[in-house]
Amino acid sequence: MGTSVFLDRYKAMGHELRGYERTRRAIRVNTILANKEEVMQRLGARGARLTAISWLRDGFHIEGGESSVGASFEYLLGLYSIQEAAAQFPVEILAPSGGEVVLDMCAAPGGKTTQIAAWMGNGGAVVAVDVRRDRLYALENNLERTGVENCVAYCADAAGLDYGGTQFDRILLDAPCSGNYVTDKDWFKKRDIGDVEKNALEQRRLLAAAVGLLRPGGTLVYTTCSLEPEEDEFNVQWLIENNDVRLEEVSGPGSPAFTKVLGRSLSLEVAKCRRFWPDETGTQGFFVAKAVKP
Amino acid sequence: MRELKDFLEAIGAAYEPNGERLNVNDRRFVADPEVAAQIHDRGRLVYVGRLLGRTRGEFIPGAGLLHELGRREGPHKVWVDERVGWLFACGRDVFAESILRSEGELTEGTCFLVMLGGDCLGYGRLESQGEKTILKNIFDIGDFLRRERGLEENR
Repeated sequence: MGTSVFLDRYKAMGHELRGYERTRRAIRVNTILANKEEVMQRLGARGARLTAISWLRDGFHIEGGESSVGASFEYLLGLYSIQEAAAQFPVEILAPSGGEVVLDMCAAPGGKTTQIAAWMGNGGAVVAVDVRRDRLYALENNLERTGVENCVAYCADAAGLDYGGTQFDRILLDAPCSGNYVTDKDWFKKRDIGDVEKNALEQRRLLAAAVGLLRPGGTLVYTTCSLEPEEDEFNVQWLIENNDVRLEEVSGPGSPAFTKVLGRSLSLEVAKCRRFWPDETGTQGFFVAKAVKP
Repeated sequence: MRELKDFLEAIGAAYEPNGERLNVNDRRFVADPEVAAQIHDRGRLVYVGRLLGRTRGEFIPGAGLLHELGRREGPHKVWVDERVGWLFACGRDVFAESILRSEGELTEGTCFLVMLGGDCLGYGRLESQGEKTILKNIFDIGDFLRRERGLEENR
């Protein structure tokens, strides 16, 4: 399909993108093993400049430094993780706390799983599931490196695993999606609308399973790193039409989600979700929705 | 967990893991009851709680266990400077003359945690190599990088 098809879509959505926007390097301090001051001091002593990201609890942009950000003592000791700024946002919206039981449905490679564990102070339990064994090795490494001790990880389809009747307090569904060009320079060559539509169907299957696993009063955060409405707003519209959940406002950077897009009119409730556009937020493209089960 | 006991003896540490002990293939874990309560499908389990270590060949302690032992008094430890510490984290052995100080007698066959300030970088065994005495690297935290690179290459 090529670059222009997607860029024209984005233009029709009000964003004249160049197709080669890139992100700033970001890290997240791992509060299980360190505090922000310690990491700032230690990396600062190595010549790195850290700037707090105002809309994140533990996130910093990082520049300079004498060694690669992924090859320092502090990284190997698990004091921080490399995690793009927008990718840190969903767990902030999920806001898990110690003592809860949380499900991370498509968990690998584990950046958000370790962030959930940190928000929980390594207490309670995080059940992390991913269907791809090759990606789970990275998750296991991340759990070990960052000192996470409250996680149970499975290699399985999160919609079909036996959870022993557990009803989760919070669920993160960071769904497999088409991704976006900001973090993948070959993205335009690889993607077409057929992929997007196929992914959207899989996302709905996982969304339905998530609602079934949530306890009454529990919170579901649905997120993708796709800019395509089929995987974002249309799926949220489908979620509220077909499941007993209500949307909650996601406040933060970026823009409200669309209620009129690609010729479709959606519920005004969908505007409670949040979109990250690369030209607005300086991040990768992202979408975040928060729903509560009555 | 015989391998864990042997490892702890070799570095002179007393440590009793609290919680439910679980084996997942060649890895040994310990988990709080609240975490272990979420195990319902052992066949598809890949990780749980705290990784104590791996038992393939020589016992390789998990990073969490090393971190905890590094903070305790009792285990044999040697301290190195940042340059030597980085070489160790790159998989290299430590020459005895590069050891800044130690806790525990520097006798051959004894295992030591390798410390950079308050951080544990791994562990090794004191050995003779010709005329030289070295701390032979058994495990270091640079293993995380090597594993990550291995995963990228296999993609």
